[in-house]
Amino acid sequence: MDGDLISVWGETDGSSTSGTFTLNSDAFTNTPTEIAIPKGFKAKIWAIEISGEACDVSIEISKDAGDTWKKVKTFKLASAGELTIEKKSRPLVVISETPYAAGTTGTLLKFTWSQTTAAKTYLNALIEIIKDE
Amino acid sequence: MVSGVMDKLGLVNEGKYLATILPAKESFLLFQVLARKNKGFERIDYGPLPIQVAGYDDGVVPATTVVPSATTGWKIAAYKAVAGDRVVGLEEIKAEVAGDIFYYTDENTLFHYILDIKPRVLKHIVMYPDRQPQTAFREQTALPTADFGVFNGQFETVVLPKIHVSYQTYNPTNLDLRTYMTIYYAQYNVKVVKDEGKAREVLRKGLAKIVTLPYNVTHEQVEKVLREKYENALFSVELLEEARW
Repeated sequence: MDGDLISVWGETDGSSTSGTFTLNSDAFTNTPTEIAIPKGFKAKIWAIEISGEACDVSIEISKDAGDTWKKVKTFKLASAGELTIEKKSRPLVVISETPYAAGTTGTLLKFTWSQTTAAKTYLNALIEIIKDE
Repeated sequence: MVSGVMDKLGLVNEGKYLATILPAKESFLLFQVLARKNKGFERIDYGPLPIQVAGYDDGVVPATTVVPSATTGWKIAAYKAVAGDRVVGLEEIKAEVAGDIFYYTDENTLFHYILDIKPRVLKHIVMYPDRQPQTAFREQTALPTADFGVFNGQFETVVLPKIHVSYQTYNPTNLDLRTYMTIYYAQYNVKVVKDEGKAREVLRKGLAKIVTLPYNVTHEQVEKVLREKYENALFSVELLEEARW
């Protein structure tokens, strides 16, 4: 079965040196700060674009509905400009073994930022959510 | 099954046969396709699912929500709750089928379709007929929230006359998901095969595509159709022993 390719985007708030991206997409209408991976599915992160001011962008996952988070990868935009990372053959994969129930169970994925000086930085990520077959 | 029975979409070609198994009856119906009224034009770009949840855009399935509700199903309607005309070109469809475009009453017709619903993370159950869930693990009926008895993405079935088929959908994510459905269908003119000898020959020669209907729980509406439309046309599945699948 083919997966669902979802393009998400967000931006730093320009006033905090760290935080979690609020995500927008044309595939969904709310603006979550995290994405719940349904049980039996996996998320593949195929591409990330970071643009704007210097910023570290991290991918973090939670296996307990957001109680605890683990940083699995950090991308560094060392100075103002643009950074594009494409994982053409080996995407970062997050597998979900539990159903999502807000605040109770579920595998979550989020993008966080860290900056020396608070400034505007923009994130765009291409995520595939696909059945774990 | 020999080549040429169906096309690349899985729809049956003219002159060939379609066997529809009714598991609850341990029987099947056998149809010969005399014509495909939409040959070459099988695709309907249906658009968002025909659901409307208050406070959300048309066709959006809110996070962790069953739509349209825990007790009702959505049918493949010509109209949409809000936009009114989103299946463009079907604005003038007859009122009696506007709420379910694959509903019909004539036993010489048969609709065979494949739904392709995106995003594929959505979970669906089929109700055949409307409001009768048909999948279960042992005696436990599957709800759209269940880890069994649901489908994601594609679903193929055949609609018998005078039957409304409906669906329930569950969004297992925290995202309020937009939806899109594409339908691949065939509208057949059919002849019902009632002669057992003919049925055996068709099956032995591999001239039939076999589709199992989601009919595991008997329902009076379907039973009535079988009595009124297909008298003496039900064959035991034992005949399929000779079938070339």
